[in-house]
Amino acid sequence: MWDFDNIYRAHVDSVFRYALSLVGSRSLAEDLTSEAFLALLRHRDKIDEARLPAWLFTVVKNRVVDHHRRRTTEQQYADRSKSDQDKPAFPAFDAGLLEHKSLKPVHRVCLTLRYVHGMTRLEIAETTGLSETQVKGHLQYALEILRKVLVKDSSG
Amino acid sequence: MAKETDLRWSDLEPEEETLLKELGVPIGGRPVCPPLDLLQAFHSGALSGALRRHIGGHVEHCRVCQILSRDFAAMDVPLTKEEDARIRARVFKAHSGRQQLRRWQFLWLLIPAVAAAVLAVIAIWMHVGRQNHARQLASSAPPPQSLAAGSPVFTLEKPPVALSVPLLMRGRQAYAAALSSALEPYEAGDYSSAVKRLDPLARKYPQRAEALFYLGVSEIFEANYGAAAESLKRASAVARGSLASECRWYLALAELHAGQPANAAATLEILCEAAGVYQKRACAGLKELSSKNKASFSR
Ligand SMILES: [Zn+2]
Repeated sequence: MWDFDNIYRAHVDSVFRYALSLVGSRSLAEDLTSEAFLALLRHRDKIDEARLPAWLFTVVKNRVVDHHRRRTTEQQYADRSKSDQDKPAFPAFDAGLLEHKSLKPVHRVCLTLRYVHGMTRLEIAETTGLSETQVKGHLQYALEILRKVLVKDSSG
Repeated sequence: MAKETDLRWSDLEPEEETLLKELGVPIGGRPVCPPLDLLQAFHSGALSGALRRHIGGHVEHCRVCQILSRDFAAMDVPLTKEEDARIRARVFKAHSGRQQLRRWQFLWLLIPAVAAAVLAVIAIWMHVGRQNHARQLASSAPPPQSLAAGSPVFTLEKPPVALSVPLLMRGRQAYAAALSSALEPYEAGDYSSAVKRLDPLARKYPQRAEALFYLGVSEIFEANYGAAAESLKRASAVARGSLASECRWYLALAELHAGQPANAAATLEILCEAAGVYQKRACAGLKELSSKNKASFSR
């Protein structure tokens, strides 16, 4: 017998993580997860429970693949920056700075999303699932570290 | 109003600005690295063709992008309670709606019995007063409507809420979040609430097709065809790609229902000429419309 509530609880976390790994956006991963479970509801008569969660993963992946396939490189990527092509490109952020031993993944992600991708703190919060306050804290800490490195470099 | 790209670092603080200057990072410059959604799609094998080569070519040489993907995976922030609640609300609302439908489906079994009873009543009625019956039927007939709108080619199907990856791109999250919340009544089939929620959103974001599209479709379901045609016309003007065809298809339906077959034909012509999921249906619809036209001329 189908116990949809049980099935949902058993798989929602892994489906969400999988979706997140594919799209790098929590709100989009949320949409994809909802869509996968809605698709499961629609096809419940045809799906053997033993095929879960693989079936749900396939739904998620197909949607993402399908979306990207429909768009060309120009639409996807070049168009995004077309409007500010007259502005200077960022110099590649120094990866050596990022790999400082005092920085953890969360600090590096916040640093990169803000200073390489130009996101606001709110956007970083939405992307990472951290609160805006947490993002602010991580950025402050990371900036302190970078400042120390800079001072050391210029004095040494 | 500021353009989306100008929103970058709208929350820049003085000490950050100082450090960026020290690092030599120009403020408000153009990111050279692909956005995170494309990076992740690339790593998970969801990209193909030129896009895959383009992103792959960058990632291969960019240590910053390599580190970002690795670290993003390592962060592993689990599904929050709020996220779970939102997913649950969307999924289970549909689930309970479906169950209610199932519960009411048994009513179909009653149709033959009801039909027999109705026939019996009509037979008696006709016997009692044929003239009177005919007059009553005429007065209760629905208002005249374009015949074509009732054709199987033009069956009204509810378009599911389809996500679009660029919606969640930088700077669009606020719109995406508002849209996703406003679409809850739409998904639940409560079109009158959907119109109320989507209308202000469509006004606030006139350049975004999604809010206008779902507003128009909700208005069709609310039988407000004139308003639907207006919303969908505006949606068609700003929509791109497959959403544009979708907007036009529903625009044609709204126009038909609103008794504007000439407008509907013009809309269908655009769809019929371009390759897309609605091409076949649009061409078939055009044929049907023109045959209706000929029939009414020869009459
Ligand atoms: Zn890069």
